[in-house]
Amino acid sequence: MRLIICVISIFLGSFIGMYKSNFLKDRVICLQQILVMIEKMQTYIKYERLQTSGIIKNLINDNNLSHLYFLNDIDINKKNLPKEWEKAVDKNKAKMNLNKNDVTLLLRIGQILGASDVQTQISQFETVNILTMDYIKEAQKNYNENGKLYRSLGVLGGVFVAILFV
Amino acid sequence: MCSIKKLDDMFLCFPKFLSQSMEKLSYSDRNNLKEIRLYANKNIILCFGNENKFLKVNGQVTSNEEDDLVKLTQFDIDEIFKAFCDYSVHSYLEEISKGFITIKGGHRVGVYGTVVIEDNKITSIKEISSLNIRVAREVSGCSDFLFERIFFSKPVSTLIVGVPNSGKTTILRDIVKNFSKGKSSGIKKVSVIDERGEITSMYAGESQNDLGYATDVYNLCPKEIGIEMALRAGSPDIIVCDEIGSDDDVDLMLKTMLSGVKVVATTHAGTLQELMSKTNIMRMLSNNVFEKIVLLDNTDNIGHIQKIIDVKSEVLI
Repeated sequence: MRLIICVISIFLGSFIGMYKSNFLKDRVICLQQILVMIEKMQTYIKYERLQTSGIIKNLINDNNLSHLYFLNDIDINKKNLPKEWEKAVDKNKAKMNLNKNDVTLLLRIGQILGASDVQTQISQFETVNILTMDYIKEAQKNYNENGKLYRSLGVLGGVFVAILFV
Repeated sequence: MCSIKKLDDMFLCFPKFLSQSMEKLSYSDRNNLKEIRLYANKNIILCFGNENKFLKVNGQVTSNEEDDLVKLTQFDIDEIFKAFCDYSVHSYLEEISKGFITIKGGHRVGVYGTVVIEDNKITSIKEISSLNIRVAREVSGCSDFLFERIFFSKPVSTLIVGVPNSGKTTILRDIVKNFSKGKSSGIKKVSVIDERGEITSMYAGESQNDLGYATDVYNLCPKEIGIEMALRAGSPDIIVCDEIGSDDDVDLMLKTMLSGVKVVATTHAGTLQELMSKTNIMRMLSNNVFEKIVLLDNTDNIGHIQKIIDVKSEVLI
């Protein structure tokens, strides 16, 4: 019985550590995909002059943006697309493991998209791009520093609980 | 029969308080509505023919400045503009740079604000200060009289003359539909060169007006390019265009006449004397580009015909 509890404790500790570590990793992936999304948006606006609904439709079907779950919740048939964007981000923010600043950034992208002429949108997206790259650096650093720590702490915590039982 | 085009799609673009007030408009006010003028930080003005009135919160209209008038903020104007552009302002730049956009239902929205000019060309309009919505109407059958009198056996080149708001474009649209639906000795192929997007009111590649079966449209296309393309590629029976009168138009119309294609076009003038004072129009008439002139009345009755003149014999029909 004790042996089983020990194994479960180690397993549970490791799982919690991995989960916390993946949380950080997911944020990095999401931010990287946001960067890709912005670049794609710029291309669609600048070279194809696609309507906002068309841009979002293409983004939904893009396999490279699989971590941006909110895209699938945008109803492109609705008239007020910025509102739809906002609702979808709000609904999926927890699932995407983004922090408050990241969510604000994502909401800002929804406000920029389609709201002005090509040049203005491109310039605004450039600014958001720079900010996103900063966030990616910060998230990457956070993952490198703390990801390993969480995993180790998880395993060690599990082992500690197992020793207590023994 | 005069019918106002659907307004519901337009109301979807308005803030809730405005659409609620607009929906409360009386049946007659709705039917007589010609323009909706939206200003930032000012009252909304509704134009009914020659009368301009303020919109009240309860949907009534008044000529007096009262407390309960509907007013929009700059934010509201920006949001309405974005909604009119389907939240894709970048896709509408071509139209915006011409000063207007066409929205669902064929209504035309004049855009006013700070004009952005690059390389001596208007590229955009920013800081939108006001929007003027011209409510689209379809006056079905307004050209029937012309088909009874001049187009009954075959198309003839015709110049439609009238002052602004006399219904030149409305009658032109009905002529296109009737030719294309075979009202004049079978279905005729019609090419519409819609330089300003007024005849066809294209929205998302689809005309918001019934233009019949065999109508090809060059939307927002300069006449010189559109007519050239239509003559080469469309083999049309009739070419239709709006607002002629420039130096270039004379050569274009002559070229079209020589190719054997009939032209139906419009031009601004209140009276025959005024028309005769236009040198370019006179050049076209003296070269027999047009066989008939249709002069429209300057009354509230849209598309009402005052005179039809046979150019060769100078006789009233």
